[in-house]
Amino acid sequence: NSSGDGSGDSQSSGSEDGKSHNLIISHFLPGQHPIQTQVFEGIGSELESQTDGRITYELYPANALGDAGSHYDMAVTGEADIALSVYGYTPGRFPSVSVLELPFLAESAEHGSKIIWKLYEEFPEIQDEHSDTEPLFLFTAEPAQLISKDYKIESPDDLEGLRVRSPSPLGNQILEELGAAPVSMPMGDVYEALERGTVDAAMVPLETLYNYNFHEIAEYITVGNFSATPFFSVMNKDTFNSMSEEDQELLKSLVGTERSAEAGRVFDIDGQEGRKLAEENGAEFIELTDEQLKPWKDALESVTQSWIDEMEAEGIPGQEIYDRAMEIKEEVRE
Amino acid sequence: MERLVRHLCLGLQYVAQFVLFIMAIMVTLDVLGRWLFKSPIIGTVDIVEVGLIIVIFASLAFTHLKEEHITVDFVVEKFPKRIQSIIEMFINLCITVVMLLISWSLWGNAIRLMESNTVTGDIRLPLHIFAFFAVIGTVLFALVSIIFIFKYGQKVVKKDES
Amino acid sequence: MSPEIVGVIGIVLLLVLFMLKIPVGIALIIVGVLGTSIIRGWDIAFSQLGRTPFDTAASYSLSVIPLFILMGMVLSYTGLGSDLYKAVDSWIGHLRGGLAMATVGTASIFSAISGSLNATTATVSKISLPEMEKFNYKSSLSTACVAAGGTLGILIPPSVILILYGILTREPIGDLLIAGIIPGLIQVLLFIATIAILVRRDPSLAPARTEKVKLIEKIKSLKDVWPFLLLFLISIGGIYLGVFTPTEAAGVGAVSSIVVSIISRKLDWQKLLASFNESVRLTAYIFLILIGATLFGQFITISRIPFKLTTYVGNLDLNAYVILALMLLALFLLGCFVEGLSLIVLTLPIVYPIVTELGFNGVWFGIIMVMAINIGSLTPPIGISVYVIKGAAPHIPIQAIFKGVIPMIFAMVLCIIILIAIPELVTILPDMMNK
Ligand code: NA
Ligand code: NA
Repeated sequence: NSSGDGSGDSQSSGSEDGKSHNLIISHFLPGQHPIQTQVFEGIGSELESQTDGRITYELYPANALGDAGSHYDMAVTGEADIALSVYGYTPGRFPSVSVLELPFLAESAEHGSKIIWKLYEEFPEIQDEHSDTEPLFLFTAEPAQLISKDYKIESPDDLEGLRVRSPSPLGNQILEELGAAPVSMPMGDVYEALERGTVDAAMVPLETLYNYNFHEIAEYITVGNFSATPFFSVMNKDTFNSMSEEDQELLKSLVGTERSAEAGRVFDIDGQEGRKLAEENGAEFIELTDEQLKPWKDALESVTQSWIDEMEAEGIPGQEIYDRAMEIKEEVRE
Repeated sequence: MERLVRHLCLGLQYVAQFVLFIMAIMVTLDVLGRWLFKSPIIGTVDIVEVGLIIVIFASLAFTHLKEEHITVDFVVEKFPKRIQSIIEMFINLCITVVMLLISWSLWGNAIRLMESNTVTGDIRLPLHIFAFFAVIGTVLFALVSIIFIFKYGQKVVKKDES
Repeated sequence: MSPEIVGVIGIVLLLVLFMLKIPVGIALIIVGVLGTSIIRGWDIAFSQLGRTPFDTAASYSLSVIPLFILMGMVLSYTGLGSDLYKAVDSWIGHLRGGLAMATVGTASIFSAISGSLNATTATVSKISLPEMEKFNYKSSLSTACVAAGGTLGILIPPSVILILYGILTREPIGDLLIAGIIPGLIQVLLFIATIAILVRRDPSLAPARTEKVKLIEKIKSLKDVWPFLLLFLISIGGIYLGVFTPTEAAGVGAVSSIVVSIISRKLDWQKLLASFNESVRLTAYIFLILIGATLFGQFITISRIPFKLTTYVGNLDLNAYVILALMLLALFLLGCFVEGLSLIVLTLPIVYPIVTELGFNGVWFGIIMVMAINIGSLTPPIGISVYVIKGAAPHIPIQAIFKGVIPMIFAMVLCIIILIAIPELVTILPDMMNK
C-alpha cells in the first residue's frame, strides 16, 4: 500500500533534478480507510509520478508510529513528515478551530471542510495556532447526530436524564444544556456500552454506524447536525522548507481547499454507507425539520454564546470568527 | 545522598499507592453515580488517565531500588562473582545513561505540552504538569542506578583487597 | 544500509543485551532508540523517546492493568484466593494436577470480566501461583497454566483485541465477540488435557493428595468461597447488565474486592497497604516493559520488516491453505518480537485483505489472529505474559517459565488446526445470532 525507496530518510542527497524525498505519512485511521487509500495515496502517487519518483512516500496507519493525540507533535518534531488526526485529541491547543464543533454549523463533512479551510485562510489567529507546521488540508467529519438503542429522541425533553456518550468537551456542554448526562468514554468502549445500556445514546457522526459497526445496535437515529469534529493534516516545517520551490508549488497544488473538500466527502460517503446499513437493519431515522429544531436551537443558544465569551477571554476574536463562519456556511453551500 | 534517594523513592511510592486508590474510588463512584442517579462524575476519565502516569513514574525508581525490573539471567549468573559485579556496574551505567536521556527527552516533551497549552478533555488538567512529574520519576531512576554503580564498584574493590 | 537490515541487526543486538542481563525494558528502549536513529536520525529518535513513555502511561484504557492487579493483590493478601484453592483441593485434590486444571478454570472466569491479556495474567498469577506452590506443584507447571489461562482473557469476551480487530476491518464486533466463546472453551479443554498428559508423564510436577476428605469437610470448605463468588457475580453481572464497561470493571472490581474482604473480616490495615505497595511495583515493572516494547515496535515498524514479510507471503502463488499456513508462520515469527496490539495494527492492513480474498471468513480469521497474538505473548524473547508472571513470582527463573509454556503453545497450535479444519466452530454462534 505504499512505495518506499528503502532509505526511509526524508532528506537524501540532491541530484541534478532536485532533492529526493521520502515522506513518512502517519495517521490514526485504519489502513483500509479511504483517507489512506484515496486521499493520501492520491497525493502521494501524484507527487511520485510528477517528479519521476524523486518524491516517494510511506504510509503508517492506525497509530503504528504514535498515539492519535500525539500526531500534531509528531509533525512538529519530524517523527512524521505528514500527520493527520483529530484536533480534539489535544484539547486546549487549537481553541479557535473548535468553532466547527458548535451546533447547527456544519451540515455535511464536505460543507464543514470548506468552512474550516476558508476560516483558516482568512484568520491569522487560526494560522497562528498552526504556526509550527505547514497545514496541507483541514476538514471535518459529518456532524454528530444522536443514536440510541432504546430511546426515540425528537425533542430536547426526550433527552432529559439520558446518559449520552459525548464526543468532546463542547459536546459535554451541548448535552448538559439539553438536560442529558454527558458520559466520556473511548470510542473502543462505545459499542458495548450502547449495546448493554451503559449509555442510553451516543452523539456521533453517521460514519460511525459504518466504521464502528454501530449499525448493528442503533434503533433510533436523530438527525440534527449537533456538532462536527474537525481534523488536520499538517506537514513538518523543515521537510517542507527542504523542498525546492517547484516541489513546494507542486505539493501546494495537490492540497488545500479541494483536498479538504475531498477528505470531507470521504466521510460523507461513509456516513451514507452507515445510514444505508442502519436502515437495512430497521433503524428509524428522525430528521428534525426546521420547526422541530426550534426548541433545540433555543436550548443551545447559550452554548454558542459561552464559546464566544470563552474565546474573547483568551484574546481570540470569537465573535468575529463565529459570525464569519455563519456567513461562509451560506457561501460554500451548494 | 543514598539516604535521600531512598527516602524520595519511598515517598513517591506512597504517592503512587494513594493515587491508585483514588483511581479505583473515582471509577466506582462514577459508575454508581451514573447508574443510580444518572449523574456521572465528569472528569473521571481524565483523572484515571493522569493517575496512571503518576502511578507508573512514581514507582519506577523504587522498583529498581528493590532490583525488581526483569532481567534474563542465565549467562551472567555463571560468571565469577567479581565479573558479575563488574557487569552489574556496566548494566547500571547503561540504565543511568538511558534514564538521563529519557529525562531529557521527556523534558522536551513537557515543554512542548506546556507551550501548546495541552490539557485533558473534560476538566482541563494541564498535561505538562504530569509530564514534568514523569521527569522527576526518571531522574530518580537514574540516581538509583548511580547508587548501584557505586555499590557494585565497592564489591569489585573489596574482592581486590582480599 | 537498508531499514530491513537495520531491523535484523537490532533484533540480534536485543538478544545480546538480554544475555548481558540488561533489564528487558531498558534493552528494548536502547535498541528502539538506536535503530530509529540509524534509520531516521537522532533528533527523531529522541523526540520519540520523549513522547512514547508519556503516551504509553497516559492511557485510560491501560488503567485496567493496575486496577485488576490491585484486585488480584487484595484477593491474594487477604487469603480469599487461598480459600478458593483449599475448597477446590478438597473436592478435586485427589486428581493429579487438579489445582492446575482449576487454575485454567479460574482464568477462564476472570477472562469473562477482563478484556486484557496482561491484566488477566497478572491477576490470575497473583491468586494462583502462591497456592499451587503451597500444594507443592512444580513452578514450571504452575506458571505454564497461568500463562496459558491468561491468554483466554482476549479470546473469551470481553476482548480489547477483538474490538480493535472489528474497528480495523469493519467485521461485525458483536459477531467477533460471540465467536470467541466456543474456541475459548475448546482451548480450555485442550489446556486441561495438556495438564493431564504432563502430570501423567511426570507425576512429580503435581503431587496428588492421598488422604480422603470427608464429604462434610468438602461442603464446609464451600462456605469460605462465597466472597469470591460474590465478587465474580458483581463483576460479570455488572458488565452484562450494562452497569459498567469492561474498562470500568477493573476499578469496580478492585473496590469491591476491598469491600468484600472487609465484610468477610479478612482485611486489616497491614494487608491493605501491602496490596497497594505490591500493586504499584508490579505496575511499574509491567509498564517499563510496555514502554520498551512500544519504542522497539515503532523501530520494527519503520524497518518495514512486518510489511515486507507479510507482503512477500501474500504474493506467493500457492494453495490457499498453504498461504494461510505461511501467513500464520510469519505472524508467529513476528510475534516473537512484536507485542500483540502492535502486531495487529502492523500486519492487519496487509494480511486481512489477502486472507479474505483467499475465501476465508473474516470473523473466523479474527479469532485465528487472536490465537496468533496469544502464542506471541508466550514466546521468547518478547513474551509479555511470561514477563508479567515473572513479575508476580520473582523467584522463578524466566527461562524455566519460557520452557514450561512450550506444551501449552502446542495446545494452542492444535486449537488453531482444529479451527482451520472445522471453521464452523467459530462461525456457528454468530450465524445463529444473526438468524
Ligand atoms: Na475477556
Ligand atoms: Na513473543
